[in-house]
Amino acid sequence: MVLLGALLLVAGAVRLLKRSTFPRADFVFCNQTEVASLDPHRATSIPDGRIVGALFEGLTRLDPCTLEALPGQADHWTVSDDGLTWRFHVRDDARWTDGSPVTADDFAASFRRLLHPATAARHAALLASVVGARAYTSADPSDMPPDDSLGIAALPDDVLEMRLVEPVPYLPSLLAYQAFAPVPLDVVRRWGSAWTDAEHIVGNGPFVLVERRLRDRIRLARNERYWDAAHVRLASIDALAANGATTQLNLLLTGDADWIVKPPPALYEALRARPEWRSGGQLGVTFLRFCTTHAPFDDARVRRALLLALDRESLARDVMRGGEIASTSYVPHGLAGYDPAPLEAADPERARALLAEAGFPGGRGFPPFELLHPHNDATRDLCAAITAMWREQLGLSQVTIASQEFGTYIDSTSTLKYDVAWSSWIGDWLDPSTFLLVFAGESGNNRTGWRDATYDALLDESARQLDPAARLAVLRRAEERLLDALPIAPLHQRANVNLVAPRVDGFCDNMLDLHPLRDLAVREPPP
Amino acid sequence: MRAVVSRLLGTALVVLAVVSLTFVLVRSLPGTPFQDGKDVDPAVRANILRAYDLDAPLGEQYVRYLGDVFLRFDLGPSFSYRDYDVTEILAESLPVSLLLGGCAMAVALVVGLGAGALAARRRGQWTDTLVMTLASVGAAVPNFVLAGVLVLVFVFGAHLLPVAGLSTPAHLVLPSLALGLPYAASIARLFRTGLLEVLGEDWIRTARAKGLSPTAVLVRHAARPALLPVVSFLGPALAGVLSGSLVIERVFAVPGMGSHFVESAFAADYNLALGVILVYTLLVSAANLAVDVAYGLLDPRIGADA
Repeated sequence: MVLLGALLLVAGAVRLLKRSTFPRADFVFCNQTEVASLDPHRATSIPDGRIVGALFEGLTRLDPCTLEALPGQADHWTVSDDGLTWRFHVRDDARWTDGSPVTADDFAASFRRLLHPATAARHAALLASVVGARAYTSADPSDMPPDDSLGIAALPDDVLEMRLVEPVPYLPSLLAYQAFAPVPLDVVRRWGSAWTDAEHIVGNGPFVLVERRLRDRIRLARNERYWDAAHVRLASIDALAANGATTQLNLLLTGDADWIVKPPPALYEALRARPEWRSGGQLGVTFLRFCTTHAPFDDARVRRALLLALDRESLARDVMRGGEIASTSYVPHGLAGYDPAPLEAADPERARALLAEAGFPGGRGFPPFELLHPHNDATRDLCAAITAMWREQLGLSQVTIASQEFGTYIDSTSTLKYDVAWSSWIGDWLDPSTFLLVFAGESGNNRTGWRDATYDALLDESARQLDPAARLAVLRRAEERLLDALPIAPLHQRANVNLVAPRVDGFCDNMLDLHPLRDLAVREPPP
Repeated sequence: MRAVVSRLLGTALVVLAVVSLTFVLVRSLPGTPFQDGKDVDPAVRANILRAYDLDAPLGEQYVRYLGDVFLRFDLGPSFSYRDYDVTEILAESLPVSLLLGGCAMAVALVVGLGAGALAARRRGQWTDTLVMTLASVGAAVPNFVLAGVLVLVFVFGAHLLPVAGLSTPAHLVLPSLALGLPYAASIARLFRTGLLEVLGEDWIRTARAKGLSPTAVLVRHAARPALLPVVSFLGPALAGVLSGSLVIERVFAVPGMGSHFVESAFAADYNLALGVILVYTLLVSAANLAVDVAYGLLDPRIGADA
């Protein structure tokens, strides 16, 4: 026994000591969790994007302060008058980390890989507006349509052409997303799924991968071959995989980390006064879903009553406390050119009248129902406050709270086995359509049972609209329609909360909570 | 020897049963792999399921999995860490878990045996009362509470130790203490009880009558038989240290296997969940076997055919 223990100890110690130890990096941050993949086509989450965005660069990138699309690997681009043909000019000094040039061909081949069924890329659907993309992605891998069936082509002089079936005015900002980075296909072919290992990986971004220790850290160093290396101010970065919220906070407080995302909500009050505190509105909204297929939630008056009884200001300010903004619309404010449709302000009096009109005066006769939420302390507190308001304002003492593990909660809402459910949606691109398409009749994300022909027709019309302003006007009409039927009750715009050490420079708060490592700097040496 | 061989055969059966049961259980969990709350295009979803062999009928998946595991020693790709195979993940995290578990067991044994011997030696005195009170508290306090207290004292109070991560030996101190001390408390109580029982025996009186000092009697004559209850506790303790380290791993950001144990189930990462459970089954079986062998060595009456 002792011998066995000693052996195991020695084996573990040798293994641990064999790994080199690094001096502290210029900049250390907690990336919330281990990344799912460093392959741009397999990466899905925000933590994935922070690293993939450092190792690779797409045709465009986003300004972290304005979220405007800036030149990335493409130095300029043009769009045809009908908004359907885009041409991106790949810059001459774009280089892979092995020294070879990044070409329009690399982008064309990478986009084909993203769409190929064998890649099984989660984000392939983001290119669905490209000619032939849907057929390509849903084809049988052994019987693929020809490459030229796709509206993606490398033209002479390193120009990438993309032909679309419908206008996508936000295409340049969409292409800044991690999934649209090029991958070095010869390296991918040579090493298979091991191509993202530190010893094989070839990228084109502002940083290179030095080492990856699973669930420990990812060490990055500046890529001197990057076209804009002169403006990359961090020489080395550690991305820690620590996933406990308190642990991350401890690391920040001891100076072992310079940036953490989302500290424990229970500590917001104490942390708000610290110089590290940064919070701002997110491209995301928290709302309640109603299961509109069964009584009494099939009655719009009941849904409106439940919405109007809620003091959304108080829920955001007193319960959430992270800088959430009480909803005055469904689509969050702040998307360029879009003026969201107004949502009625809280009005308990009117809520009581509507409930009485629906046959439940003073809440009498209202069947017992559940407010469902995925298991999480902050969400539970919000749901408790909501049900308290319903009891107090509407006399609905028969409401209870139910909590389910996330996967179960998704199953329950998808199969419409719930009454009212806490919900949340984070936008994928900088356009109101990312929020409005959720409630299309065919959408798998709808999960309310609400299906409205007029709403769907407005969404279709917006997709055909060539004039960007007219397109946004149609989308606004769709939002008005949604807020009239209220299959959902918007509560607040979500907040990003970051704690950033004062020595860090170049950190901009923005709706996407996007903080490209290439734009960050540190003012003084680490503590 | 025959006993050991039959135990090994039994272990093989246990492993097969555990793998089969887990295979069915993880797939009957609510939630599906690659679910992040957003519905994906049906074509994309079909591609993902095909890429991970999840579109085949369950029976076929099962047969293929058993073949991969037991004939090719291939545990398959992880669904949540998509750049890694399960084997690679286990190869990275198992040594860390063993190192942490080993240190925690060392803490448990050194502190536990020392405290138990001290209490037995000073039976009825205030030292005994103090040690046993601490042991009762120690056994009752959950390790994450202890972890929080240790962080407060040694990191934010004394600025002595690093708060989280695993890059130097100093990083191991707090997680080992937090993981090992609750077991030390149990060991102290068991060892004290064992010693007191033995100390009442006739042959101990004989030893004392020969003029040996009380400490020498304790160490040379009483310790070995008094270790038996401690040893039988070590099997489950080792299993607990290895599989129960998930909270400690999270608090101190230690990249061990404990977190995979729970997180793979939540993420519906079938292959990783199965791989981790397979390794735990083997470890627990090995620990129990080692305990049985140690029993035979400590107490000649039990013999090799136990």
